Amino acid sequence: MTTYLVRRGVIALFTLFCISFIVFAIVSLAPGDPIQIMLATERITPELASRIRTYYGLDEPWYIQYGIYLNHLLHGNLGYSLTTRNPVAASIARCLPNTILLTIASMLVALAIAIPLGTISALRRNSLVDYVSLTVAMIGVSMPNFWLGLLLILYFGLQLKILPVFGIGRLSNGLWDVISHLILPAITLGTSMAGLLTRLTRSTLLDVLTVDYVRTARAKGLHEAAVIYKHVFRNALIPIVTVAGLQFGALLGGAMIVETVFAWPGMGRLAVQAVQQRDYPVIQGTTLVFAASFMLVILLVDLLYVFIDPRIRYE
Amino acid sequence: MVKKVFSLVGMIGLLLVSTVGLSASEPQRGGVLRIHALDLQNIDAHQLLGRNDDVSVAFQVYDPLVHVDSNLMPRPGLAQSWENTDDTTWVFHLRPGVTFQDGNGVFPEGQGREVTAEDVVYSINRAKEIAGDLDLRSITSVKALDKYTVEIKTAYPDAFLLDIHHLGRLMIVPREAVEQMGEEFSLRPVGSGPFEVVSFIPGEKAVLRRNEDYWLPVYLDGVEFVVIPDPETTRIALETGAIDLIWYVRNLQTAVDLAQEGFTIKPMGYSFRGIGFNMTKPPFDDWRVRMALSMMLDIDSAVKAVIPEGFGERAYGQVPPNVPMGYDPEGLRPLHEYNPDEGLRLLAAAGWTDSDGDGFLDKDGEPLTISIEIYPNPTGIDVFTILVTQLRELGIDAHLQQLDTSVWVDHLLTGKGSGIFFDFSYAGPTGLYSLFHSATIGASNTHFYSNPVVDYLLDRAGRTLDFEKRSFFWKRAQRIVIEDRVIIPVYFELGPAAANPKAHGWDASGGFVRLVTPDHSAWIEK
Repeated sequence: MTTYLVRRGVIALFTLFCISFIVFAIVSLAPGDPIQIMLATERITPELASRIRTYYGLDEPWYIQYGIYLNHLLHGNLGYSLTTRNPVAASIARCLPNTILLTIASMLVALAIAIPLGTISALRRNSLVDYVSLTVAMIGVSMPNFWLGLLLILYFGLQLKILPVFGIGRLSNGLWDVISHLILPAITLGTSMAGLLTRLTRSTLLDVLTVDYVRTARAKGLHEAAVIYKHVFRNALIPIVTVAGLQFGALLGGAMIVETVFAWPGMGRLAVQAVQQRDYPVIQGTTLVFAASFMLVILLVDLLYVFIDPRIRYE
Repeated sequence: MVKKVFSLVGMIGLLLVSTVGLSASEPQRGGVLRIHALDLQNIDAHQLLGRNDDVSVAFQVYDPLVHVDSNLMPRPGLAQSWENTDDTTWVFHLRPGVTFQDGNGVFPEGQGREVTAEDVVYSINRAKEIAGDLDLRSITSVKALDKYTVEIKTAYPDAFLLDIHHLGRLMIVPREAVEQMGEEFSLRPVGSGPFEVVSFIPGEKAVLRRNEDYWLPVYLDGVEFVVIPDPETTRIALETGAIDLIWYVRNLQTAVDLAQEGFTIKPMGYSFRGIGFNMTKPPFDDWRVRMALSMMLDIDSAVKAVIPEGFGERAYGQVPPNVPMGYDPEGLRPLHEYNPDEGLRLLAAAGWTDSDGDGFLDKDGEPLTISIEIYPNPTGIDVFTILVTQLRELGIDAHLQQLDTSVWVDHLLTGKGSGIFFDFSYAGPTGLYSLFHSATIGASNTHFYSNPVVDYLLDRAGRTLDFEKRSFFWKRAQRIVIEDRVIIPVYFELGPAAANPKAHGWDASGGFVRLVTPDHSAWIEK
């Protein structure tokens, strides 16, 4: 197991290095930079633009700029935003916990919908319950995030006035402040993930329900609930955990649309704003953090397999 | 694109009666005003880089050296008077008794230090060194003559030294707070303004409370700026009472709807919108083509179809109505004529005719293709779609090309684009210089326009301290720019602010929120 973890760590570092170079190249090649935008919108003078370029080394050749960036990175310095002058690491440290919170809540909502719905669907295949749950799953996948989010805001925030319409809650204001701000964005995000997970749960369970050991368990007189939870479900978990893990990892990069609609200060908004403004240090920092987070989640999912299926071992 | 036919002039006039100084009731003490922000990142006084929401917060926390009123004219503020001892020397006299905020890690409770001339000297030098967004390049030296007197020398007579992009937005900071707090100063700054920072979370909110020792009356207990990026959520937040003020409603139809719902609508400021040309790019390097296009556009119809009454007006020049110097509709209107036949005649003289009978003009086998580049901007897209349609009906292969903002900017600055673009300016008094002086080619002069006469007039205006003479040079320069058809002015968009009708005494003109000034102090009706 130790060898396996070390090997994964080395691969991760190499991957991060490649990602940093690719992102740097893409951003350098893309037209426009933040200094241009500030110039064109008359926020700064040409003389100031020239000073800012020199100060940030933007007038150096690209390989010099990349070398400087790597050197800073190796010393744990992600640089400073070109548009706000805030340390990139501080901005990420502020946004990442908010994104993690929203991701966990959304995943819980998604699983709370998908697992029961998918299970019932599989057990009552081709029944009215099955068709209804498939339709619900389809609606969840098809509905645009921003539309659902605005509908929820209009109903629960404007009409009923029982939930806040924007922002993030703080524990210093009480647990309900955190939960009440989390409900609507988590439902919005969770609903769209639940669709895919419901169908996956259903199809995986259907596969497992027909195998020999399940028939044997029933023949031995085991209670149906025990058959489902002890034999069927556990053996169907691997694909569900894989897809849920991938969705979780993807969400750690932030959900831009939901974060914008609900004014949730997460990684998605930070990253997309940086791209729109060509804020190179922030783009690079957020991409690296996202990549590292994603790889960590995949590693955790792989390790989880060991607990789900004892036959799996990593040497 | 369906415009609601609704006259708001009367309503706006009525609502404006309830503004500063004309309110029917007396100001009431108490309450917290919650203000919308698109983003909040860094409120260090000299690192604002033109981010309007951060600047709005800064106006509450600090005092600028000079107060610029809603007509963009400099007025006494922290500096209670000033004079020119000669054309390049300014002497400012500070108001005694103004203190920096106390009860923080720098100045303990009851020990706020008085603002002195040395603080002004420090602030100017810091702003210049840090490379923020203030244009202080004309300042060659600054020194304290005594405790309340500052002398500033400039390299040349600088007519714009006191405006909102110069000393009118130079915030005064205490040296000891900057040195002691380091990077923390950008999150919990100390100033001498009407409100103190309680907390500032970038991307989320800024919470401020009344500075009890401020030199002007402060009625509000506190202010909160809350970040809401989505426009629909922002509107709902105002309608539910979660916020009280949206200082810039970007969608005009939303402003119209909010006015009908009874919210207070006030002007934030005018912005110029028009068609700009890259003067070096064919076929727009030919004056006849530029002039012809301007004669073939029925701009009045397009503006009337899209802009609700009271939220903008037809533009004949670049200088908008709220800028005291250079707004000249009467002088410039005669230069604009809607005459499509004459326009076609001019194009024919330039060699553009429908030689192949396909309904579109061409020359030497090449069609006259016009692709107006525009960034995402709902009102502009609606107006320009009408203009493009008008051109197509007259036989010009015209299109509107929507680009990502960064790509649009890159095309303008490098000249790589089509050569014709949606032109805009938020600039106050210095807009003409930014857009048309040859010294700013490759920067804000995206027209690549160079006219020595215009340069001379703009330079003379910038160095003429007398207001009337300066205005003459400015108008003259603007006239030549229009005669050269560097731009086709289309409209001035009035950015509206919307607020809870119980909020009074606030001002959003000039592009920033100002709650407490010598002219007014915001308050909430209970």
